Amino acid sequence: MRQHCISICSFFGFLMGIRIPTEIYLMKTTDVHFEAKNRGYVVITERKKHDSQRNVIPEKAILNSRVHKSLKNWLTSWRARVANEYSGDALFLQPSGKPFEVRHLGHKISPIGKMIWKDFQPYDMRHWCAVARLIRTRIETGNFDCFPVKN
Amino acid sequence: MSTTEGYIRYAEQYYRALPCDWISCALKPLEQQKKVAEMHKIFDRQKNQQNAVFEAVDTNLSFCQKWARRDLNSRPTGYQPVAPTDLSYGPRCEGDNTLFL
Repeated sequence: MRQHCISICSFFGFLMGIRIPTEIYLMKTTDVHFEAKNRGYVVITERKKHDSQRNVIPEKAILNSRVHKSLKNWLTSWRARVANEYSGDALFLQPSGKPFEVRHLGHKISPIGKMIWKDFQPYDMRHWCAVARLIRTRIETGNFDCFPVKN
Repeated sequence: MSTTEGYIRYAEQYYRALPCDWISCALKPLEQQKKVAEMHKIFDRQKNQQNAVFEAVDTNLSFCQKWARRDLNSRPTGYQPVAPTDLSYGPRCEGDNTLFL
């Protein structure tokens, strides 16, 4: 159960480029907005930039896919199951129902990543996402377009 | 160099090594594994074409076929086969002129 929870946090870390662990810790259920035609956006609070907010428009696979670890699957299947009176409005919860603490999440993700790559740090997910999205722009447009990567 | 420029530099390097979409690989691993395998085949073909030039030289020279045929696994030579016929250790200097090699 705990492994599943951490794998979902890693999924969003790698594919959305969230700053882990601070931004995962600050995300709330009201920050995820689903709209018509499988679209939507996520509001992310940036602790690093004095709690300013940025909007990210994720792909369908990340937002509401049925077969991936999407945000919709997370909200309907996992979070609804473990939420209790301690949960509050936090988006990501531990198996006990309590929200994650910043350092706790970082300490949990690091050793699992180090099993795969010994120099792994949680912030490497954000670097990976930036490089992956730049490569995607190169494949789609023929140039390294940094505009969609700036978020 | 700014952070974005650093990312672009890394992306160029990785794209040159293997031009595939990482995010699609992460989301649709089975479909992308086939594509990546095809790319590896193309790279292997290119390598084989480069090696074929050397092999053509080998086959044209009949004496090479006997004693110097190219190995299937072309690897760098070890340090001993190409080492000069000299002492394997350097001269020792005394006092402050100690030489660390």
